[in-house]
Amino acid sequence: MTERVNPFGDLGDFSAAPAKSKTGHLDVAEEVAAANGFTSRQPAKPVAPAAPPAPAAPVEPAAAALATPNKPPKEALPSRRRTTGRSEQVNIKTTFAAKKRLMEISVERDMPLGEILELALEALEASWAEPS
Amino acid sequence: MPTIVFVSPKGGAGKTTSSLILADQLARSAGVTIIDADPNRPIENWAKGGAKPERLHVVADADEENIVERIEEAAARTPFVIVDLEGTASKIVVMAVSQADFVIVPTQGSQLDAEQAGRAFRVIQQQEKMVQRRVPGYRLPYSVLLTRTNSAIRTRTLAHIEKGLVAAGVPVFDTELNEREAFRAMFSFRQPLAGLNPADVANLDKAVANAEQFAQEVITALRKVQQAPAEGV
Repeated sequence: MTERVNPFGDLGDFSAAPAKSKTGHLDVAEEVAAANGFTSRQPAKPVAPAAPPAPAAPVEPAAAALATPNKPPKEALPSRRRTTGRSEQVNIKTTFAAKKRLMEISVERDMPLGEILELALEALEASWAEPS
Repeated sequence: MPTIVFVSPKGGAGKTTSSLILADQLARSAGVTIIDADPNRPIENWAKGGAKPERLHVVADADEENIVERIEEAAARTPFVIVDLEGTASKIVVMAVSQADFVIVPTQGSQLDAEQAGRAFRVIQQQEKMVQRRVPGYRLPYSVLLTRTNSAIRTRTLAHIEKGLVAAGVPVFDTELNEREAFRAMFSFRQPLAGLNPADVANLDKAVANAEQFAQEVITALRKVQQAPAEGV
């Protein structure tokens, strides 16, 4: 098919230029990906060589083929779990709206729920201490 | 300069087809790099047909580790960069979105597609909101592209979905990509639209007109972004 006249005219106003560096947006992307369950699908590169196979038990060839180191690792679910030293559980009944607000603050500020509770208590006590 | 990223967490929404249609059209006027970040490498396979336009470059070794680097290299080389991603909710999608100047979310007129597209909007909006805390005025414009629509009949489901998107304030391109044999033939013959033979492919002229209209609307949207970077579109 012969090509017709180019309908787009001059696109010279779009030029190749060193892109504005958006590398700063990357750590945001990491958080957004984790918060929305967009997990890594890239097979993890082996960091250290796999432990040498134990020569004790003779392995059947079929079983050996199943245990090849190329087997993709099990996909991990995104986790917001972190080690904070807070180990006490509080199970609180609340309204959906309050819970939603709590979760939103946690996601937006990237704060563990325990930290929000502590800060909220501090703020509450500070407000009580203020002379009215 | 504009980096256009095609996103849909659902497969089969038309990402690869619509990204190739756009790249092919833009390459008629300017240099375009298409980054094929789908592990199945459909665009790379298409390019193996040998009919790739001269101004269209295909980068097919992108993965989660190097996607940002590949986008930066491409942006320095050609005026347009198009990123086609795999149809899953994976981290590489968000990384590519973080580097985008414009995001296109291809969506078919089905409830399933629309629900998955919703996940894409949330990611785009959240990315924009969180970057804005560091860079006030940052905008990450996006638009839905309705794909595989019937040029003659408008289904009630599609009308309902479009109404829902507009009501939710989600931008939708006026142009839809129709279900056209020519768009499939691009892949089966491994040809750009202009390389297809009208004797082999029905309604090729209509497919070309549809592709041009889509590219024109994208160019208009990109100009808006370029002219008013602080306001976005």
